[in-house]
Amino acid sequence: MELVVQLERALPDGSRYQRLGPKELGGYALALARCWRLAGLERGDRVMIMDFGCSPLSYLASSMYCPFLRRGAAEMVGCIPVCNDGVGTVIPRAIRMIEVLQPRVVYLRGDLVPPLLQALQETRLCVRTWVVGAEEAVPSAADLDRLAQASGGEVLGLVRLDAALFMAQQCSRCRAFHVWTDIYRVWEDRGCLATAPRFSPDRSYVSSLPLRIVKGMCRQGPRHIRLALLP
Amino acid sequence: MAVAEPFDEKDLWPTERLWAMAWRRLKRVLGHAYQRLPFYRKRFEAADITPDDIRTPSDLARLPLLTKAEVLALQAQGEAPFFGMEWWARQEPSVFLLSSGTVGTALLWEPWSKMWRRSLACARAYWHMGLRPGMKALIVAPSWHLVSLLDRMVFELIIPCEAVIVPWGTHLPLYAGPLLDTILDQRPHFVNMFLPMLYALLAECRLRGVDPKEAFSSFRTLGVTGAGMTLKAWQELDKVVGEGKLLEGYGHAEAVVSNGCRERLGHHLMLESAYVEVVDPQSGTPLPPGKRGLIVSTVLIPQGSLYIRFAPGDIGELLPEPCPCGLPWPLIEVYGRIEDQVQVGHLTLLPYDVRTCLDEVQELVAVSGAVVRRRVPLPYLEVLMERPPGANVSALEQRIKEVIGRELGLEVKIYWAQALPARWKGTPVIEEEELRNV
Ligand SMILES: [Zn+2]
Repeated sequence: MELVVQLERALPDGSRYQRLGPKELGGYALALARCWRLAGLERGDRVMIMDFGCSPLSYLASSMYCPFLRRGAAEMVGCIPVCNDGVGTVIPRAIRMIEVLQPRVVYLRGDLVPPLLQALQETRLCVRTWVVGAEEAVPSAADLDRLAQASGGEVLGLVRLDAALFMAQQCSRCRAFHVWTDIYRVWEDRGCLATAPRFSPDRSYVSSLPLRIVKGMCRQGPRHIRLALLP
Repeated sequence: MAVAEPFDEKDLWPTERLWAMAWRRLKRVLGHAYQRLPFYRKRFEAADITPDDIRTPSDLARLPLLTKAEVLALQAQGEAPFFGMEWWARQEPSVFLLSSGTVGTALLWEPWSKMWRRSLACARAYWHMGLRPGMKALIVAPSWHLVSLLDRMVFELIIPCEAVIVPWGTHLPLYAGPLLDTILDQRPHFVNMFLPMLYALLAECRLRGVDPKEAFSSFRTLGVTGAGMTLKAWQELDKVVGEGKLLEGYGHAEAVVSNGCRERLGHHLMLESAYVEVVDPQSGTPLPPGKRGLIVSTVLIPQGSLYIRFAPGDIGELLPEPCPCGLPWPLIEVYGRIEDQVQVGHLTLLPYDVRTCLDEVQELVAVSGAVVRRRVPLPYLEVLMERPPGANVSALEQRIKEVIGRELGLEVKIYWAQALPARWKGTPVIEEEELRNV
């Protein structure tokens, strides 16, 4: 019994489908839960996800969304999630839902930033933190800055490498991308980020994202590896 | 006739026993809401009743109907995230669902245990639609939608599937491409999706030169929801996708779960999770089976967001005859939305009624036709038809007049247009001003 997810981009072997069982889903959801905590989410908070149901940002959010997932990020952190899909046309609905529910953090697909900026010209929302996600891409710094200005909130980037079930998120304190060494192995391959999940070691992947490993430690996670990812 | 493969013993109960079960649960929910939920306490007090005053189904008329507009107003002013109509018994996972619609989007707070109990009703519906353990099932509904949560529970925990497949994108017709790829690559057996997506998939098949029967050949069940289909439209579509697999369900996020039956057009109501009434739209009084009215439902699981006597605006009727399939769960048929009603002479019609007549003229089965609504009703029906290429219009007109006269007892005036605007596809209602623009 497994979950079969059609991916946004094909895997290195050409397949567009990823097969995930309870063990993979559990490890992957733990990474999302760590991202949530890094974004400041705590027990009792509400979090909105503006992405498709096929995105790990959505389906790992709660065991209520995903078959074969025992505990989603919401159950690990103690939050209540609300999803609002990944298309630009539902931004007006998202704005109303944010006004009613007042989530502390909103996760969104990178391509929703421009329509969201448009909508924010007419509305002021009190979201503390926005996290902009992208698959094998670093969300543009200019986009993040514009969103921070328009929303008055803090804006962080999140990088996914779906082939390796990988997520790393920017830290508000040091601005580097934090990676959890108990969840992922990370190394450099010809100047680019390479990674493999410890919960599914065969899924190693060499990305096209140039990186630099940041020395020293950040108080948000003294044991995290920190990456500077270049667009 | 007894049902061949019952889901459990309730499938063998007489219908009266199922209604009695739903009534007991309804009474419990009313008591719970009165005792514990401020929003409903106020409604009972404003109506000057207590749950003890509701002794028979007709007493329900004393409790006002709940509309989406009221819920939206409550949620716009309330103290997030709870608004006085929610209840939770213990700490457990929960999510907010969205219920979108013509008047706006409402939030529903749904804890795990409630979703589990609603899933049991959904699993029964899916079982009768043909889902069996070991199948491959598709989830097309987005995460914010009730169907996605029900699918998640049923496909893993109640009728365990070999694989649960999630296509890229979302349920909107724009994403038919990746969905068709997924269907062709993964060969699923079961899906419950929205009717516009099925039409978009058929268009995608045409575009790629793929025979829909081939594309959908792996499916045992193609479930669709989200529109009142006429018998003819259903039969025609069933032929296109490969006969015997298309089933039309009816439901909404707030309460109702039902399954389309292979025997006839109508939906078996799963009364274990929702009490359903059909009421007079003016008085709110429950109507007997066979009478058309407003569909009203109450969720029977007193957890999460509680909707009591909720009227989503659908018009339908409880069908009086037992279903030939043998299932004792009562049948409901849904004809359309209250805002689409048109007054003609002494009749209140829905586009469904006109479509049923037009469907009797074979050349018009797939042809769009709009029903005209006048501010001051006329004694005769007016229909704006798209002119089928090469058709003998006067012969068609004669046959339309015959069938409308026979079935509805009305005279009809027909206007022909070269093409109707894309937004009028199907059988829409148009206002008299719009007639001039065609
Ligand atoms: Zn039946």
